Amino acid sequence: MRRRSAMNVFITISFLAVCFIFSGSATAQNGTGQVSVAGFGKSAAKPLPPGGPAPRTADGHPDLSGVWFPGKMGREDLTAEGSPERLQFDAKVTPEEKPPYQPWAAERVKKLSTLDAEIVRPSVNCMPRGVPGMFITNPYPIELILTKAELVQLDELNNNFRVIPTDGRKHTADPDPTFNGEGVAHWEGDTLVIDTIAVDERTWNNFVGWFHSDQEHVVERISRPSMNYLTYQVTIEDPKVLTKPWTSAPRTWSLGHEALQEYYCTNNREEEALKALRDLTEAPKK
Amino acid sequence: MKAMLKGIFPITLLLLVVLGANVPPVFAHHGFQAEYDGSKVLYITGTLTKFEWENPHAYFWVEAKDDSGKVTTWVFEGASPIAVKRTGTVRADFTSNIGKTVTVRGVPGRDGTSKAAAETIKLADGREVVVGGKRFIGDGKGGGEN
Repeated sequence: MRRRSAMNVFITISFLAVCFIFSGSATAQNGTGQVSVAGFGKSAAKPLPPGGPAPRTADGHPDLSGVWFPGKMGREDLTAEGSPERLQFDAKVTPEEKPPYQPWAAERVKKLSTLDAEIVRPSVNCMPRGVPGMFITNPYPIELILTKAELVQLDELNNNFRVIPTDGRKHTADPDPTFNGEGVAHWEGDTLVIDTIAVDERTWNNFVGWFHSDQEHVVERISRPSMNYLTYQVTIEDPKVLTKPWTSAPRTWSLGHEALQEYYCTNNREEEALKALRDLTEAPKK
Repeated sequence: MKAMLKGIFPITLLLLVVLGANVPPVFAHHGFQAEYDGSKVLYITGTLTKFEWENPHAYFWVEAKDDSGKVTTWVFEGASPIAVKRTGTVRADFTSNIGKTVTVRGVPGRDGTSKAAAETIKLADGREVVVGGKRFIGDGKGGGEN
């Protein structure tokens, strides 16, 4: 009997030791050099040069037209994930203020569990990201087409678009809420200023629960400081949710030389998988 | 060693999951942080059986046999086909490798099932191609905005 117990202890210790050793082995493979793809996960991405002065339209404005990729590379490259060159801004260089929520709004956001935040996140559900999400939470390229009277924005993501008059007109009296809202634009020097209201309340302004009210007012500023770069900055006012206006860090987009592709979000397994995971980990106690 | 690792892997994975992961307080990827565990990396070798080249994510399936002959079907999630293609990996890399042996590097799901978010896939001809961004964060920053 005693021998069997000793054997059981020995087997148990051996099993745990083997598990420990191999768990170490599994993680020990993490070291560099395991991925043979050049530059994978490194910060070797190269930013585009300025490329000379921005082109101008016949009426003298900077021509914002072009296919634009988020970040400084002018293209997509998954091997550069984690590199600041692939991001719209580097928080270490240009820190961005947190949303100045009113206390009740802060509480609502805080109450979202990690999984619930993921499950209800509009981007996970393939919902339109709206304005300003079609810039600030968009990791895919866009195309801008500036005509004499309009700015047309085509988003690859969800095959989305908006058309904004640039003649300085006022908002209509009572626009219906839509995902991209009602945008009207005017020029301030070389910067196009887009003023948007009536944004559908189902959109978020970030990935972690920044909801907004029907009183949200979005002011976007777009300029083209050089041939290869677009600068975008947005200010959000929301008297029902925020204590004061919030202004983003300047966001950088860079000129690409390829056409937008079709992107319909038709094979989304995220919501189902996350709900299953929630059931597994957060099932209510009976 | 690799065969041994494969054999012991389900137990090891379970143990690692039970021990708990150091979850980074960052929401970034499209459902990624909650669904997958970027603190662990795994390599699965087996037969590529199926793939879906559709948005928002590419998916593919690999049947891996352990030393006892037991076959486990792994499902891997990649980035969007558009992003994967722009990085140089094309649909033909999958169509021409159906039924062939491949090795996938990725990070495991948090639900303990045989699913993972893939970073790269080593094809039958020895080429290692990218199917997702940096997901493993044990040796650096990973998990991008999608």
